[in-house]
Amino acid sequence: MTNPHDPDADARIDEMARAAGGALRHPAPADGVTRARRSSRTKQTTRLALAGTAVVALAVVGIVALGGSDAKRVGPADTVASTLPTATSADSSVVPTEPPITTVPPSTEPSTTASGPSAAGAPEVVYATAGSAMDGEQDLIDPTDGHVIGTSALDPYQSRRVQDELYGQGAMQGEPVNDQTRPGELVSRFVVGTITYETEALPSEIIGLESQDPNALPRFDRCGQGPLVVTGAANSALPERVATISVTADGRYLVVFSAVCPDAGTLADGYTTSDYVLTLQVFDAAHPEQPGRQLLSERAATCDCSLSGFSHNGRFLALRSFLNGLRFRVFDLELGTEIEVADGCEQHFTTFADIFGPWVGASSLAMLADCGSGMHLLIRDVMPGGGEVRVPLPGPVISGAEVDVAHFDRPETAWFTLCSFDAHTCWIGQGNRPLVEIPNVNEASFVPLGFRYGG
Amino acid sequence: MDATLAFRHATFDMTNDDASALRLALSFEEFYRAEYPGLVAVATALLGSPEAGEDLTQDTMVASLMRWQKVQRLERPGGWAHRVLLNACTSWWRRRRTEANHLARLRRVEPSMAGPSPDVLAFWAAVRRLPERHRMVMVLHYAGDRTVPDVASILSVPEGTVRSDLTRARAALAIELGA
Repeated sequence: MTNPHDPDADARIDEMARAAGGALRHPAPADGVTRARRSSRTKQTTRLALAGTAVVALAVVGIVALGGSDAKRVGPADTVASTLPTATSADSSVVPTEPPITTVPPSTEPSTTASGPSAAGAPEVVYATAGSAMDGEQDLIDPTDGHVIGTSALDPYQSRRVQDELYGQGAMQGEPVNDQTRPGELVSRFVVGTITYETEALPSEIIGLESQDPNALPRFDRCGQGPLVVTGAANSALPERVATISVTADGRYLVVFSAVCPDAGTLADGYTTSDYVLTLQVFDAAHPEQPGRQLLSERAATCDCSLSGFSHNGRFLALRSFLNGLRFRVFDLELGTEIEVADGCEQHFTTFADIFGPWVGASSLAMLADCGSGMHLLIRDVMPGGGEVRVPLPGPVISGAEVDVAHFDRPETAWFTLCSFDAHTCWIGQGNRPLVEIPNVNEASFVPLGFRYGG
Repeated sequence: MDATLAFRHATFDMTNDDASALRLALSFEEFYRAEYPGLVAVATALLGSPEAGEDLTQDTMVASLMRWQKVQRLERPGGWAHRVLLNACTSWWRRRRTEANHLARLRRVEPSMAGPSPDVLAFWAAVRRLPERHRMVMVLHYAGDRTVPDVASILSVPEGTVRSDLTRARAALAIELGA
């Protein structure tokens, strides 16, 4: 019989554990970084496909837990047709390859706007955790004073549903298509009136072409683009193959990111090593037979960007660019212009922005911006004359920043959380009001915790 | 101690200023090479599947890369990655219970090397039967090769708690394994 208090037994287990631990450690794979970089760039495509699976359930379940404003909810898909815009000649015209850059006039001084009440109400609770994943619970925090008012179990499914609904509301959710003839692919369908757009993507969580379904690879070109099938409209002017497409929630705009791949063959031959030109085009989703407006045309090596997300009113689009650090490039779809949104400051993403884009409201975005005088949380309405708020960060290293989308009305009244992993502390704020500290937590969110795209 | 472990411990023992200076020069590639061995060991020990362990480790690395601007500035980037990985492992178990199809897809990823021996698997299977916190400290300390202060930081518990948990966990394993 083993004596659990026997020091020899303890030493033997210690030795056994060290050996067993060492046996599990092995060097990083040589191609691991390359695969990680590729996977990070295709996450958005997967999100568009995966997110659609959550929307139907959400329509039933709702987000009662948040108690948010109905005005911000996405309408059901069958209401899309009635909101389609009338095609105009302006929408159909081809604009120059190099769009003019317009700059939203930056505020020259820190926002001094008083934080009045938000027309969209206030959050009833903030979800917080020490992040140890040990007890499977989250604290419920009163956002007005930071006190714990209860606990609840982590529910990753609820967490994902709420994220998809709140942060993805600018984009139409693609309907996942279960097509047994296309195994190994994620097929998504977007329906705009009587027109259907169907795209295909490879599941990006399967890393490495050698591990993808070999039957799927021949359907993709060597730039990784899958076929785009348009039904219900004759003579589509859209590219036959696309990297990604996205449709605004109101069905007004369809945005296509695509390239003419320079190398013949399919993905079964491997990714191309040649440089190629990426184009960003916006189409009238109700009239795919009309030419799209080209918003951007850049070589892949210098653009190095992917679709990110629409503002919730569907007017603005963000690309995620990987050059010179991650940053957003924002386009006004109505005017066909690119907008400078960060005053040239170094950009850092808020908590959900890497997946859903920077949008927190109808035409407002949020980011962490470093303009040389210290980083601050910037919440800005990019509509001409829109307001903004700049919040200096309470600590030198902020590991998370989030804006309350469910109750967002305008930047000056926005609720937000800031968290510091190093300080083991989070803060809750609204506009320029004093921050409320939540000690001994690493994560604080207006969205139930438990799920995070990308791990 | 190999080079990657030396790097990690050196970072941990440095003053804040030294560590900050080093972090400025820390590239994602360096982070990947330094943290991968410990992360994959933690995930494999917790999940009991080398393939799934490699998958979640890679997912954690992708998550780190997507937030690299923030992660590289942290005092302990590796600690952050371990938290992400622990959460991913918890989610993995939840998914496994309810999404068999998803798991089947994960399994299509080929392992990058031969799996551990049956004895090693049996040891970690016994660890997985421990209470959750005992399991976590054992895995982080022995598989992840994290120091006691580091484990305490990752799990947000006092160092003394980690030490007592390790002692109790080893005692339970001594009985379980007849050591």
